Amino acid sequence: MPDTERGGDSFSEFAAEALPGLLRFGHALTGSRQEAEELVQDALARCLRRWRRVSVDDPVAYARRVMVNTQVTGWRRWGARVQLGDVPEAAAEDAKLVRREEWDALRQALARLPRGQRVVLVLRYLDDLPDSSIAALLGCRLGTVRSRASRGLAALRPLMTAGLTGGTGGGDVHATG
Amino acid sequence: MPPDEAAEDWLRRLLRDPRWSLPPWPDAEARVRRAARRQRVRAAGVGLGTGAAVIAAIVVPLALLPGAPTRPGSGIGPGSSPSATIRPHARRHPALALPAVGAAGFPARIYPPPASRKELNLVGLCPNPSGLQPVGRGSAAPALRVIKNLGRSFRSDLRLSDRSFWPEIKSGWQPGGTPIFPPPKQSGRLPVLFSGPLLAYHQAFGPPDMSHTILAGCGSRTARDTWMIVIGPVKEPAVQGEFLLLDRRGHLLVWNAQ
Repeated sequence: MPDTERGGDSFSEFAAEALPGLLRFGHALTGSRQEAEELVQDALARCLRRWRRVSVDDPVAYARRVMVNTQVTGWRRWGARVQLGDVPEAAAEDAKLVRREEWDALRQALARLPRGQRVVLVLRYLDDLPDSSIAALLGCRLGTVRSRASRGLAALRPLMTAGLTGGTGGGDVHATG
Repeated sequence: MPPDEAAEDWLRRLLRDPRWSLPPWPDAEARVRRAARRQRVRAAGVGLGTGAAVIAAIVVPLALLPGAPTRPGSGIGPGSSPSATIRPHARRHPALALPAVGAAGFPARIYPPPASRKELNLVGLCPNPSGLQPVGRGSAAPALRVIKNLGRSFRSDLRLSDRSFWPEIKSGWQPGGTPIFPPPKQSGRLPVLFSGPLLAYHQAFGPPDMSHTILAGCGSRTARDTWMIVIGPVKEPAVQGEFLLLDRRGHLLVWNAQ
């Protein structure tokens, strides 16, 4: 029988340490606090159910893989529930406000990307994962990762520009991918 | 987007903005445990709504989870979702004694004692290698029938399982415990995602492949002779169930499940 007490301590330690990073990752992946928390919660629950196996290798990587693949398979629909923050009026002199605008614009822009492109961009530019690792994680070819990244960046630029100038208002956002 | 900043650097910078951070959970562990319970209950009920058959997804007894409470009847903590409540018709068996080796109905040649547990064993007890033979392709359908028949009774579950898995089965049938195998449902379509040799199974995003764990913990022969069945909804990986079966002298037995 497994040593439950020892297993309990190790999982508790892992969860406490990994939670902030996973929440941040989930937020970038989903654009929604609620979605991110649900995604992380379910991934950690799966880790717990399989802790004996998961704890052997890299449980953080496993949790992130579950989150990414859950997103890719469409288990969680993002677009319709993105919480769009109010974009403050432009104030070029105020560096903080400009940054807030940029961040809000990015959230909106990511929401409009197809799911596959969104996941690749987050893994590449938030996690700095090499394309080969992304391909292995998603179970696709290296070329597919690169094309998704390229298309995602290309799609992001006009969306970001529109977001900064208020060209696209708030309201429901739907992922098209 | 600043014109003089490469798009990639710009995106990298914004993705690292602290606004993506979320407040920590004050009750993180309890919250995760409740979610784990819901996943298990959900896995047990998967397929009813779609008319699928017996979804004998494994429900690990709460007493076996790391840090779970061990007092009887305390399987559900406060604040848990109603969907995680133990079913009202939970079976109670006042005497859940495991049959001794060679007991009537459980011949030793089919239900030998478990193999010695290796120091790095991560799957619990390993099956005794005596009498094991590879599970042939023709056994895929019979293996699935074994899974469909789980959950009928304590004694029936023992008969369909290797002795190495009996302690967990017993815990599941204990009063207040969470059943490992929920009662069999109406026959129908069972969403089988994989059925084949353990060593042939690879999950792109799962934990380390079970084959590595079994090889390290129970040896190459057990790994080679193990058949794996994965069931559950393809789009809900969190509630999929994995079963390991072996063939001992023509008897298909479940020896592990997650």
